Amino acid sequence: MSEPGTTSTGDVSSTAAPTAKSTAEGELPVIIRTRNLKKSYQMGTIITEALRGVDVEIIRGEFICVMGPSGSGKSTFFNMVGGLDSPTSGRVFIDEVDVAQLNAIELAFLRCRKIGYIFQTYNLVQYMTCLENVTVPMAFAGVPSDEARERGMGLLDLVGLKERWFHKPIEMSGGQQQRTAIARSMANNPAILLCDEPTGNLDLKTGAEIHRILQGLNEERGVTIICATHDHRLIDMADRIMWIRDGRVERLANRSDVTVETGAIGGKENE
Amino acid sequence: MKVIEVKEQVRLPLMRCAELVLSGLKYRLFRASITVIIIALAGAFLMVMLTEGLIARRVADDINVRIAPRETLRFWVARISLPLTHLGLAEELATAQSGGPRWREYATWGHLDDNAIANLSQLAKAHQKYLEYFKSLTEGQRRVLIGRTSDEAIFSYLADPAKFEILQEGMKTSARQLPASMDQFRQFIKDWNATSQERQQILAGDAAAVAEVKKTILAGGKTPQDVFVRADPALLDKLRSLGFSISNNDLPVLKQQAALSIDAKRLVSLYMGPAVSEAAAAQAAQAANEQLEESPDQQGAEGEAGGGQEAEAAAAKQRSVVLVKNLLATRRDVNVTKVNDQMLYDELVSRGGAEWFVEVTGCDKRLGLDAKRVEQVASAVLDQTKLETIKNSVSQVASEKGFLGFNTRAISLILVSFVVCIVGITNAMLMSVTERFREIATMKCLGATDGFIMINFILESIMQGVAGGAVGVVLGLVLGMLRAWGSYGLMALTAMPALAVLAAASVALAVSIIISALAAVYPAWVAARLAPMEAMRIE
Repeated sequence: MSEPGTTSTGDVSSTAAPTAKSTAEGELPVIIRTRNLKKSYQMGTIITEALRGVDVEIIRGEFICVMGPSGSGKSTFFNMVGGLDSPTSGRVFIDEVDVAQLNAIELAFLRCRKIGYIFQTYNLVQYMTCLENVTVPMAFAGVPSDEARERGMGLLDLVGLKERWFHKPIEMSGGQQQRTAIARSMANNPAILLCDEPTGNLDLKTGAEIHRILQGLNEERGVTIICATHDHRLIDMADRIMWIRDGRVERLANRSDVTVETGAIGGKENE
Repeated sequence: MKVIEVKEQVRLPLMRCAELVLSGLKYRLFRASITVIIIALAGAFLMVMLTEGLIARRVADDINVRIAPRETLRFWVARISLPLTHLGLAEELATAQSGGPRWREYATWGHLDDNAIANLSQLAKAHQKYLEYFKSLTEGQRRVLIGRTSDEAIFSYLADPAKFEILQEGMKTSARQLPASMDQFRQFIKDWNATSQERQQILAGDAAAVAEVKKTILAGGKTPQDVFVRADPALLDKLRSLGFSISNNDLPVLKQQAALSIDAKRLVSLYMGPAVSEAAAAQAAQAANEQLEESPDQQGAEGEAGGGQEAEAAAAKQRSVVLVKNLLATRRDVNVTKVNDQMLYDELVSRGGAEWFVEVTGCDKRLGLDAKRVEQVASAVLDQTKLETIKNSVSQVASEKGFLGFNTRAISLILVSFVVCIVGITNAMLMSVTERFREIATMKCLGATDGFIMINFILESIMQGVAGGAVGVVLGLVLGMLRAWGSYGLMALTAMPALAVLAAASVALAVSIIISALAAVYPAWVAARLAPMEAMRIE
């Protein structure tokens, strides 16, 4: 199972269309699979169970939104899936690679090339220019700096910030910073994008730009997007929606099966 | 289709790390500069100590070379005119070079072979040690332990078993400890007293030789200086025949130094005597009159009605015998009572001072001392006095032994400064890690390995170490030189041991860099351990 890429076969184009992504996951290429995923934290003498057995399969090219109140285990799930933390018990397979089997250096490799991260607080390096921020993951991947600069400019063009490549984060608006962060997350052409409340700190108008970019990446490049969010318009774009509560998957539904309204999604009150 | 294939993350070349660190340092210039200052202070402290020690040692060496001729004269003057004392001999025996000229003298005077002298020398070293110990006691303690005896008498006093018993008891009750064991001390007293005969022989031989010198060479009340100034190889042969180990190489030095010493004495006696120049006498008389006129009130207050007459008499007396001293006082614009030898020499080396002195005392005609010689003698005397003053202050620093010439106190001070520096840097870096936890975690999300983060922080600290070390070395060098200049004057700068100081500078720089690298290890480890998921945290 830990053999890299042994079972990854199939055609991405067939799964790229949102309509093809059904619940019949057995036939579709699964990119992330969790098996009875459990995670508990010890705080002093109290043991908190953040995840109490999660079994999820996320399909390649899918756009999935994860919802849940704070303390539901949503962030923990995110960390597990993103290779940022190891489970207490259970397994996480990213493309059939057992994350728990990887050592620190292999995890760094995974995070560098296979997964892109987008944070609510953008997390750009303050002392670097826009372009430098975008090329950091490329430097870590050993890309020569000339090539990195060229690719970085291409990515900035994609997010519409080509003219601002020399700006420092402090000189940019929140939306521009988040777009830079998206360009950075795409630096090494990852298969998965993990977005943690990407529009949480943005107003509606700038949020919309982010939505458009994310949707474009999902549809045109076939990037699997896993997105924790409470933004209705973002949820509206998703293929599937997943609710997490008390460390368990409460509900997993296709977008077409739920109604998205302000204040209530699929009849569930969203805290 | 993207196939996920996991391999080992590549290592970033060091140059790329350095570039990243530099751009980060530029951004956090203020915090970085605080760390740099801490390192600079520690580096400067080390450098000051090193520079001062090096300069002091060089100055001490220089001074020893420069005062050697005068010391040679002093030694031989004392040697041929004054017999050795018990204590003096013990001191000499303890320090004399094995098989050197002093040993040859002892061999001649005491009719002893080298083994006997070597034995005496060993005992004398122990003797010095015990003597020092007894001197360090308080009067009361001494009274209890060794009665009223002092110096060499202590050891003959303790030869009495009863007295030794008292000492032993006294040592037991007090917490004090001899520099050796009781048995060793008992043995020493036995040996020391047993060899007393041999030392007596040396002293007797020396006394006889000195008496012979007095009768023949110094006959007619001649001083040793008078003899040495006209010394020739025949004189040295005569001295050697009496047992004095004097080398022919010393002859020119002795002659020159003796002449200098005699002339210096003449200068002093001349300025205490009357002036010969008419013009000078008149000038002095006028000055005395002015002085009287200027202070009539004072005179009146002192002597009431008879004051005027007394003043007249005093002025007349002053006019009849005008001492060079008075003229010097006028020239230097001070009260006559404050005139001293130092002032005379100062005047003689100043511009025109020597010419004035020759004119006033007429010493060129009377003693053949022309202005040039007068100035030469005065400057030589001043030079020697200055050198000896510096020698006293420098000998303490220069005589310190131990690692790099530092004594234990200096070493502990330096170590403490290093520890404080390390703690300071570690603290600053830990704060920096706490402040940058999100940046570090993000970097790890983007593919940075633990090793990269660690190298990143250590490199950052090393860069600060280089900057701080460089500043500290320059600062320390300047401060050390200023301090040396303050205590030894110009000699400190002329005696700069450039190569040694350069070596010290590289040592200080290297130490600064090593310290900062060491201090960064813990914060770097903390940073490297930071979980990447911290990047998700929202404050």
